[in-house]
Formats: sequence, C-alpha cells, structure tokens
Amino acid sequence: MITFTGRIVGLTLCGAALFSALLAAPFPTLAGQDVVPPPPKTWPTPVEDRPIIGSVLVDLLEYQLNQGGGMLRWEAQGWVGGDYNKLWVKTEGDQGLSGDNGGEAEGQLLYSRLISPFFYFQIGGRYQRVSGNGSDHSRGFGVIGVQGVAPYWFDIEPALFISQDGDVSARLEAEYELLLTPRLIA
Amino acid sequence: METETHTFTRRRFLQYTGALGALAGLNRLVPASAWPATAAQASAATRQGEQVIDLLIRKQPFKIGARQGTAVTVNGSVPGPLLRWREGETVTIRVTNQLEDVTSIHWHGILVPHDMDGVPGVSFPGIQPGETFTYRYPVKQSGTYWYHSHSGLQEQAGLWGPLIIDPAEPDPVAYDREYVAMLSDWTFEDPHDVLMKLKKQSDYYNFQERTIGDFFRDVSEQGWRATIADRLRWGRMRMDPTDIADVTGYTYTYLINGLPPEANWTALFRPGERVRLRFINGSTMSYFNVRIPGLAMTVVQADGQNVEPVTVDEFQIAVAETYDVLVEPEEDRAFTIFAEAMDRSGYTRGTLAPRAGMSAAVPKLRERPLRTMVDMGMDMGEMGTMTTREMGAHAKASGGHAGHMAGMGMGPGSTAGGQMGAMPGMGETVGPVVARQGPNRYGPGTTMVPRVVRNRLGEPGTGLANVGHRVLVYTDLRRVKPGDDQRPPGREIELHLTGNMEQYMWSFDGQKFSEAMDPIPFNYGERLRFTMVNDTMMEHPIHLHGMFMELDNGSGARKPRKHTISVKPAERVSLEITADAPGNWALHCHLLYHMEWGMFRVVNVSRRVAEDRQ
Repeated sequence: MITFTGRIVGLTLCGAALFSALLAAPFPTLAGQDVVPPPPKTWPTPVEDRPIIGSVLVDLLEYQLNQGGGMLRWEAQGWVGGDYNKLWVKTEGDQGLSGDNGGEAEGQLLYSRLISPFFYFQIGGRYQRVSGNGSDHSRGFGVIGVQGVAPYWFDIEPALFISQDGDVSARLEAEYELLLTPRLIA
Repeated sequence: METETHTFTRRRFLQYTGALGALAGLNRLVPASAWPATAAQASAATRQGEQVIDLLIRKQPFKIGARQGTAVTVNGSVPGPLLRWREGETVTIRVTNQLEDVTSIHWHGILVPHDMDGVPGVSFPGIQPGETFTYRYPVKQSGTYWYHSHSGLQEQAGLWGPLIIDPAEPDPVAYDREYVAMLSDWTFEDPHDVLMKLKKQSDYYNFQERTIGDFFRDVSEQGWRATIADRLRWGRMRMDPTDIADVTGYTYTYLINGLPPEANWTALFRPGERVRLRFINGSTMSYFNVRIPGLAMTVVQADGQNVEPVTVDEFQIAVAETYDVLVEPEEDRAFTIFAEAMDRSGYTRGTLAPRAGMSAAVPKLRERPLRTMVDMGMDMGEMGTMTTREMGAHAKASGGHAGHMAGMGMGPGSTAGGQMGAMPGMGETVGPVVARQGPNRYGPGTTMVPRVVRNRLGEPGTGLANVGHRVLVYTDLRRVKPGDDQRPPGREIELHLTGNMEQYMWSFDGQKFSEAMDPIPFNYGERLRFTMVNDTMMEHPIHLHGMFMELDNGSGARKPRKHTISVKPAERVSLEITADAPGNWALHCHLLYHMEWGMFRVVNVSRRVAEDRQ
C-alpha cells in the first residue's frame, strides 16, 4: 500500500518535471543572459522630448498716417521655454513717430506655467510708459493672470495688475477666430 | 557631383520601372530587380547561407518631379535597397554612417537579439558619424517587413526601405509574381521645421477645418438646431472634428516605392495571373486607405504573419503596418492601385498593367471624414441631438440603437473579447462600450479622458464606415496556425495613450518619456495581457520591439500576431505577449512626431532579481 502511494508521488513528480521542462524549453536560462539591466544612463536619450523652443506672434502691426504725423500701433506676444514652463513676453502700444507726438507703450515679462490642458498661470511684471503733451511718465505693475483657450474656442487672457502706487486694476482680453476659408490662396 | 550621381540613380530607378516589360518573362522575382540598381548591389553578397550586406547612409539631393530637396539615403536611394533574406540564414549588415549626426537602422518586426535592434539609447549607443556598425543575427521568421532609422527625424528624410524574408518551407501562399508597394510621405520642408510648427500651432497643416461656408451648408442639410448643437458640442470640448492627420497633403507628397503619383509606378501582369502585392506603410505620419477599383484583394499576410485569406475591396493601413494581398486580374487592361491619405488631403497611386506605359482612371479624393462623438468617447445615450452627418460617419446609428449600445457598458476596467465585438452588417458598426472612465487625473499634458471606451476592432477605421464595399477590419484577421503559447496571461499591464493636441504633447499615462524613463518590467518567460486605452481622439499605431503582440480579437487560439497595432480613438484593446526576448525594447507610437515628443517607453524583459532571492 505504501509502496503504491510512493509510486504515484514519483509519477506526479516526474510529470511535473517534464511539464516544467516543456514550458522552460523556449526560455533558456543560461547564466546572465536572461537578467538584463536597463539601458546605461550614459547612452543618449532615444527621443528628445524636452526641447526649449520659442514662438513670436504679432497680432497687430499698423501704421497710421494722421494730420499730425505717423503713428505706429502694435500688439505682439512671444514665449520661450518647454512644455510646462515658459517665459512669456507681451507688448502693445501706439506711438507717434514724429516730434512731440506722444504715445503709450507697455511690456510684460511673465513666468508661465501650464496648469491645465488649456491654461497657463502667469505671474510677472508690467512696465507702462505714457508720453506726449510734456507729461511723460512711467509706471510699474505686478501682474497675475491666466492665459489659454476657454470652452467654445475663446482665447482669453484675464489679468490682475497692482501698480507701484498700490492701485489695483484688471483686464480681460478675449478673441474668437472665425474661418471664412481655410486658406486665402488655394 | 552629388546631384549627378543622384540623378543617375533616379534614372536607373525609372529605367527599371520601364524595363519591366522586358523582365516580364522572368516572373516571380521581378520586384528584386525592379528595385533600384543599389538593391542588386546590396543583395549581391548573398551566398552560402550567410548574407553580408553593406549599407551606406548619407545626405543627398533628392528630386521629385521638378522640385529638389535633401534626403538621407541608404546606398544612394530613397527608398533604401530591397533587402531579401531567407528564413534560417544568418545575416551580417555593415552600416556606415556618413552623416554628421548619429544614425541607426531598426529592423521593424524582426525578432533579433536586443543589442541588434538598432534603437539608440535602448539597444546600443547609435552609429557615430564616420563609424561602421555591424549587425549580425540569425533570421528566425519570414514575411514582409521594413527597416528604418530610429534616430531623430531621419525616417522622415528618407531613411527607410523594404525587407522581405522568404520562408524556409515552401510558401503556403501561391502566386505567379509579386511586387513591393511601399507607401510613404515626403516633405520638402526640414523635418525639424515640421516638428516645431506642430508644437507652436498644432493645426498648422490642417486646411480642412470647418468654415462659415460649411456651417451654412450643414444648416441647409440638417437645420439650424442640429448644426448649432454640433458646433457647440465640439466647441465646449475645444476639439476639432477635422483633426484627422497632424501633417497633411499641404506639405506631403505621397509616394509609392519612392515615386509620386505622376510617375505612375507600374507593376506588370499577364491576365489570369495571381499577383502578390506586399504593401508596407513606411510613412512618418500618414495612414492610407488602399483600394484597386475593379479588383478584389485577398489579404493573406498582416505584419509579416500569414493569416487566413480574407477578401476585401479596401483596407486601411496604419503607419508601420504591412499587408500582403493577392489580386487576380483577368482582363487585359490597367488597374489603378489607389492609396488615399486617411484625411483625404492627397493620395499616391500606381498601376497594375499588362504592358508598360498604361494607366487607368484615377479616382477622385473622397470628402474628408470627420471625427465623431464615438471618437470622443461620448456615451451615445447622452447625446440627444447628433447631426445626421455624424450619424452617417459612424454607421447610421439610430437614437435607439445608440442607447442600446451605451447600455452594453460592463463597468470600469472590464474588457470584452471579440465575441462581443462587431455588430452585424458590413461597414455599419460601432463597437460596444467596454469600460467607463473617470475624470482626467493625468495632469495638463492630457486634454481629456473619454467617458466611455469601446471595443472597436470590428470597425473599419476613420472614413470607411459607409463606403459601400468590403473593408478589412481587425476582427477579420486570424492566424493560419494556432499560436505556440496558449497559456492564459498571468497578469495584465494597462497603458493609456494620452495627449494634449492644443499643446502638441504626447505621452503614455500622461507622462512623456523624459518623465518616465524607468523601463516597464516584463518578466522573462511570462505570458502577459497588455491592454491599451486610447484617451485621445486620434489613432495611434503602437509598435512593440522584440516580441509580437497577439491581438485579442476573438479568434481564440488563432490571435493574429502584430508588430504594430493601430489603436482607434476612445478604444480599449488587449494583446497577449509572451515575454521570450530578454533585453530592453522600445514601445512607442509610430507617428514619428508623437514619438519624438514623448510617446515612448522602454520595456525591460528580464528575469527579476527578486525571483533570484526566492
């Protein structure tokens, strides 16, 4: 009786060994060959997904000829950086180009952080200069705002400004693009 | 000087094309000789069971029609030479780099030792300028494949070519003659400029966006209410339904075997012969819909793997896929091989003809398709007012029909096999919902997470839902022989395909490669279930190096083996993998600009050290 049991155990073991041998057959386990470390860190990266790039977008560049002389109007933005962090520059203004024609010009320098799929958080400074009529003056502001694409494709840029004198002001710019034709010259 | 050399090569190429008439009597092996002169050189060293092949990579002027650009060439041509091997032999390929940058050649779909796989940073450091790297490995498979650079954007610049391996046993597929039909997209722009333009303005190349004119046309067809509801629905999500391809015919010239449509690449046949066409999509960014008006095509191989024959009138070929089809033209006339870019912004074509110099009618490009609410992962039960155009676009699903399908959801994380797959009826299919998903937790690099994801393996692909003829679907593919490894998977790895179209960021699980450089561990010898969920509204052709993926499409033991699987928008798809290839392997989206911006991972197949401690 005992012998019989022993035989069955033996057979089972034998079967298991055969089974595992069959399973193992396609997977050689030569020492070292099947333990592979990750690629060495000294190798170059297989893809370059962190480039620093920049972009400039001029929304408006206009020259007006008035009685008193020429006037330049502009509105432009540019940024440089990676996917999540960018340095953003915005400038706009109108400036008389002759003699004592005054104007108003401003520039913003902002650190921008992508905080949601469509929006950047922005913080930085704004410098504004008003000239003409002998009353030139300039002011500095702190800026905090967001910029991005709102639902229904509105490009929006709400921002809060605190002047060096402590005045608080806000600005909301919104823009919507309507396509008459996908390209002007087909 | 270089120009002259190059022109010479082009002329030789065309001569060969022209010379097919003379070669017609040679039948079977015509394509090898139909390839550029350099192909013959590359294969010249074929002897005694071991091939030694020399490949030279350099920059050269490249001409298409009257325009000249610069290409990265292999042995002086685009495409590179046709490499033809035999299963069982050992090949040695010496690749010399005459570029100023690091280069590489990856053997797409070929099972090689991991240090021969040709991915800089994963399998080796790359081939330095001036250096020659020697690849050497045994050929363990047969079928239609291709090779390409895995360095930077060289693939876009021309570094790719076909690779055919003849089986050791007699080929189970009988044919009288064969041709390679390699599709690609060429741009005269510097590929880096393309990459940067996409980054700064992701819709830069899309000139098929909806205009005010389209709005009023839709109003007249569908009424104010439906049109406005449709525009609001897309607007609310800040998504564009015309976003089919990131890079389009605006910059691309689509090529077949390196020739533009005007060059009329011609494959000769005698009426009554059975012709095997080996389609390879060597594009950088372009899916194609392929058809030969007047001829049915019998698909016999997919990604180099023999499949049970299935006869169709059209098939979609994702970037990096291959399909071998048989055609039997009986008539003594020409047929157009028409490969239409999926976004229908362009095409390429060739001709099947009994004599050189013939051509057949070239079909017009069909109207551009639109993304649908299914692509967006909307639960169709919630949709209410869907425009008729969208209905048409995805299978004329009636309201009640849609509600029924939404009700088929099986809860989060659940999967459905192919048995649940297709609704009956040719081209009238929207796959069942197989999971519901929560909010987007992947961070700002991911625009959205589809609310419902489906099993879409029974769907024919974007733009092909209602073409009125037979279109290949993934559920048609059944391997000829049962797979060797029928163990049930021991565990499941789930990977989400994610992206932010607005910022042109692409990733897996919300992380670019640089944010997730630790390899995904596969345990050597294990059988695992690899599930991908596409959380974007674009198709992504996902390619795993080193091992085939067996597509769980409901064919049981005969799951087709794929090296590249196109995952549809808002689709959940499962594959089974036997991790039998120790090493580090790339896993990535084969849309080059998606890969380069981070849709890339390394898989590490190894016996785990933890196991050793047991």
